[in-house]
Amino acid sequence: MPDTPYSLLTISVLGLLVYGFTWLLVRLGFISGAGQRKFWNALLLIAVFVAGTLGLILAFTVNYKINFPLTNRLLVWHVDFGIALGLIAIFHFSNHIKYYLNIFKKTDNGHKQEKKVSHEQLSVLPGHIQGYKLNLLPFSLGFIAMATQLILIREFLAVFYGNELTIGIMLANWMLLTGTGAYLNRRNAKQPGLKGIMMGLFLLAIIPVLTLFLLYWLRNRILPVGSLPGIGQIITGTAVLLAPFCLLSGWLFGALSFYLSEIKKENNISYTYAWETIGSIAAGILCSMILIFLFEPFQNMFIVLIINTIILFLISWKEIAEGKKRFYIYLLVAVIFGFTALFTSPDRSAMRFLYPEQVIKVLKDTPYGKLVVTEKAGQLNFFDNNTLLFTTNNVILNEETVHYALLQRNITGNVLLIGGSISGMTQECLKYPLKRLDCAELNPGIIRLGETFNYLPADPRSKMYSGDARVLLNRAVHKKSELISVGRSDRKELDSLIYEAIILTVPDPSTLQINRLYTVEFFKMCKSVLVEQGIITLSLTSTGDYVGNDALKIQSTMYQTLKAVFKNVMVIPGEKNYFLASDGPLTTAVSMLGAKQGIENEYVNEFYLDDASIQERSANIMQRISVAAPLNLDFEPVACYRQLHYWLSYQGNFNFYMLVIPLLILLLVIGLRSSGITVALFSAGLSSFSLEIILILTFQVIYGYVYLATGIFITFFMAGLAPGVMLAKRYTGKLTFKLLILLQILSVAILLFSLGSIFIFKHFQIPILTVYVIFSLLIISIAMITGAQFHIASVLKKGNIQQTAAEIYSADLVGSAIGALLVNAWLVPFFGLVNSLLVVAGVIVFAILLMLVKRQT
Amino acid sequence: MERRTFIASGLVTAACLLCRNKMLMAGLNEFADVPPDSPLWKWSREAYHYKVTPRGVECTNCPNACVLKRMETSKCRNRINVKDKLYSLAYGNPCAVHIDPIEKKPFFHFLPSSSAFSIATAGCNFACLNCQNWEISQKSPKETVNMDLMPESVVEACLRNKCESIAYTYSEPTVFYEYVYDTARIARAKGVKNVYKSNGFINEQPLRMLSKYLDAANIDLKGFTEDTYLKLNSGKLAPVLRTLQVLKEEGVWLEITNLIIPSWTDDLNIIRDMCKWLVANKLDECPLHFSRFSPLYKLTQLPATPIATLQRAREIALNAGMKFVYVGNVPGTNLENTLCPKCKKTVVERKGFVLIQNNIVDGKCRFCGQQIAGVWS
Repeated sequence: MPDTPYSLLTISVLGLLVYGFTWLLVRLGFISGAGQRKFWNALLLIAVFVAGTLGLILAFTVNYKINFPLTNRLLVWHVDFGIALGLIAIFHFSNHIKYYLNIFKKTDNGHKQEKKVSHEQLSVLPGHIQGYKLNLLPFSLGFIAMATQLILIREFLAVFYGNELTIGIMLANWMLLTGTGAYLNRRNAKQPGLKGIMMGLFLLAIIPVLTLFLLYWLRNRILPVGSLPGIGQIITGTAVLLAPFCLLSGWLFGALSFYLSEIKKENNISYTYAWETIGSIAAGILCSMILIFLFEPFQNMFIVLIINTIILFLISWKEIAEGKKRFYIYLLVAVIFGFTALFTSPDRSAMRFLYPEQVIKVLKDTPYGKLVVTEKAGQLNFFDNNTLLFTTNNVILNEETVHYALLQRNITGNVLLIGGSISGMTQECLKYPLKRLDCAELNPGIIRLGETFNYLPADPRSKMYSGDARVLLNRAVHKKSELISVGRSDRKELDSLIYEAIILTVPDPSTLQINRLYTVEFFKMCKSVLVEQGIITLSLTSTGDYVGNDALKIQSTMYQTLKAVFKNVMVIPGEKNYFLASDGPLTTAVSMLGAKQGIENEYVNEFYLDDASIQERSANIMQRISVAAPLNLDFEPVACYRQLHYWLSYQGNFNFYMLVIPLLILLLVIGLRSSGITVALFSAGLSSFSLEIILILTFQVIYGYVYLATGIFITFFMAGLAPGVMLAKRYTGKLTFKLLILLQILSVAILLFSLGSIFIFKHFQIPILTVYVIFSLLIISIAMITGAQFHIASVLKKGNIQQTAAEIYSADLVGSAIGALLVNAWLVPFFGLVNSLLVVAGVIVFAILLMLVKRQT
Repeated sequence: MERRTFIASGLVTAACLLCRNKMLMAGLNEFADVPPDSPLWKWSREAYHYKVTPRGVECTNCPNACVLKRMETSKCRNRINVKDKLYSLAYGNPCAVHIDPIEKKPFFHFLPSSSAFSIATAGCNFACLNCQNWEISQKSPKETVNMDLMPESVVEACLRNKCESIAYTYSEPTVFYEYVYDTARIARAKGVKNVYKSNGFINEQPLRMLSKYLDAANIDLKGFTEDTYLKLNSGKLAPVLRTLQVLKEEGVWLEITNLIIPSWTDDLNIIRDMCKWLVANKLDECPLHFSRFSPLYKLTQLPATPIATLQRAREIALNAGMKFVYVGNVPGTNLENTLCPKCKKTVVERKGFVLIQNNIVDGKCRFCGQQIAGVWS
């Protein structure tokens, strides 16, 4: 526990506990709701009085320079009461939310009043369609929403910065805003008819094009050119830009539920949900399996727009026959946009906004990221998702990365280079008389760029591999053990599988995906394919002339993680901080080694490097490294968490918990304030989304990053929702609140079963196909439960259609949003994959308890 | 007034008080771990340059001119008003101490091949987006892990390590002025040279006072427009230009570094204007170092500076009348050699931080006798 001057945590925890206690007393009937409110109002008054009075005293002492011996003590009390005040204010607001909302509503006497949709209004909706066309409406909504999400989120990550926190923020913003859109429509008296819905759907397909344009256009107008956006800028930037699309999309869900229910004269919320999901599946398959490989983002957006226009045509073709012109207007707009896409190359134009004063030489969207090559003053710059991979003529980085490690040994065998295959590092490696140089790149697009610019080494000793380094190493490890187990002593074949050095040149472990290459398990894998005194090197961002506290934490974890596998570990500071690890000896005297081995370099030589100075700077870092630093493991990605903290320290004194604590409070307030049905939907969203993310990450940890597998799991998740709804619809028994609770218990069982599966896969070698099948089944199961819960909730929830649709849809989305942010940014990096599942299961158990205590609505 | 209205008003008032209070606390937070009546620590000294005004204590050390109420800290995070006296929090507590070749600062015309005992404390009066040492510069001394090295000890350590000079560098020495001044005074008395690596954002009076003990200064001229200074560095250009003039007047050996950052400071017309200004102000004999930018800190979404741009900038500077122009951070070129401005022969050949050949005799070109500006021995 840090030594903090103010009792933020104590007061918050105490306040929440006392509030929980009084809430329980009310629920159990010991005190009345009014009694509880009086109690908290009294506390509020006390807190206001004390904090205010102390504030006044402090203002006098500071303004008029009155020396008062207790000033500092008073300040602490003032702040502590302020904290209590803030917390009680949240409770107060939560207790009296209707009062505040009513302030803005008109009463009969000219004031605002809650509007209710009358049955008369329901039956006079303009425009009617029948049959399959009805399904096409929610299908179209789901299709546009998912396609836009898949395309836009990638672009946002490319323009801002992609780590687990920012991914979580974007997904959370997306779902929160969509949920808000649905919620805003809940009391709308004038629900749109077919014409309005179709116009809304058409608009929905146009907004993403404009959003994408604004994203690129505004980037360097609002933020300093080339700068890393701050966390506040990412939160507000994504929220503002996504708001038009997400709000409309959520709003349309409510409107569609209402329209379809009205047409069919029955509650059709879950039907809308199911067809929206089917639309999402179609978009998911089309975008992630086809479009992303073939086209660029703007082009993809236009394709989605055209498909949407065709759907709208199918819906309203009869109207055209009757002479209505609406469709022609849609078609005209779509054609104008389409021609713009074809003849103005909007993606390249957008890139010019992002890379001012640079010539865009190549722009290639790959499933792994957006690759851009720019040229300025004869220099080529290679970017991956707007992060600089390398520039030509970066002699210092290339030489330091390679030679600090290779100079330590007389390299004559094989060397493995992970990443950096076209940056010039291969040429540095090939200065040694090595036998074979294996280069592994996750993204095949990078190798293709190497071919385009002729950066691939022509030397026959070098070989390029496209794929995840873990998959490559796993194969080598298995082949080696196979050879040994069958007693084949073919020295040549065995030698071809082992390396004298492994050079890891991937970015810092800022995402869980990259973190897999910095764990104890990965280093063990490396060691098993290294020769006896083989060497491995990796690098982290330079700490300059001084190692700050947050940087020290990540450096310490990396040091101890390597130390857990190798006898000797050393840090050499340079353009980056280079970590060298081996069971053999290591030295910082690199310039002396260079001279001894006769390797001719431009930078790593005695002219630029002073061995004594390197030794002194290396010792400075090593002395401060903490021996108690936790290890970075596959299932406990500490380095990723510490890297996130380090990144946040760029923003000044931003505290990670400034994000997490409000989320937890929001979680609690939602839990306490909502009806049992809302809690059920909220926790269903949270559990299903969390499980989906955790299983995908687990698969990546065990079997390496496989783009197709990720796509399959996401599609299976979506595919599970619709059958869930249908099954619940066909259920002949009575749909009760108890059934909802039972399904919730079943989802906890699935979470625990997943936990067991992960445990088994972690410790035993299981065929990949089995894992595929089991993970897919788990994902489908939890998705089906969510779908079924959605239907049951839509039936059980009292109130009019649009209100019910809005509340359960937004509860589901808010649950998913909080799940996305908590799991991605906090739970997995902080608690690890297995424990995160336990925490999520714990939250769902808490939700079940809440549902048991609460009334149905 | 209704009960609810009263409570609502109470909440609004409380919120206002909290916000106000938060502002007041900005300076106090840092001292929460020390006894309430002594916010200072062992490494505090009363500042040399400040004045008491009705609005509070005004720091007159740098053009930020922070006016601090009691217990408030300055923008540079290094100065605090305690009972209407201004104190430095960075005196004898460097967080970075290294021995570097003098060429690394860079100084190319000042004691070539010598070593500089280099020190820095936390804090800076700028907030550059590309700061290499942001973990020092954007922190207060209370947040860094520091050493206990009083001025006498610095000079002793410098002599013990056979360094010919003490370099005040890495962060911004202006913000630990008192420490620099006292150390420089002792060093001068013991025959050790003092070199100042700074952003030049310092007021004239403290600069003139310090110049009496400075032997050389390298000033970062980060751009040549006020707009760039404001957006890239949170600073101002005019005071930096004045610093260059004052250092020249005070006879301190001066070298200038200009970091060329793509999209920020790579406009060749502006570079031309900058060089013209330097020549017009008789700074043409000051070595000018164009440095290559590498993506750092918050500016990581930019490429490194193209070498062709650096070479072009060098040509422009030479054409404008600058006599000694170098290109830094680019190994493998001969752009770090010193050429005689008269006979154009190489008088100092460098490779990295190593002197390959030195053809300067008594400060003059061995080939043509031309005086080569600098401190050569």
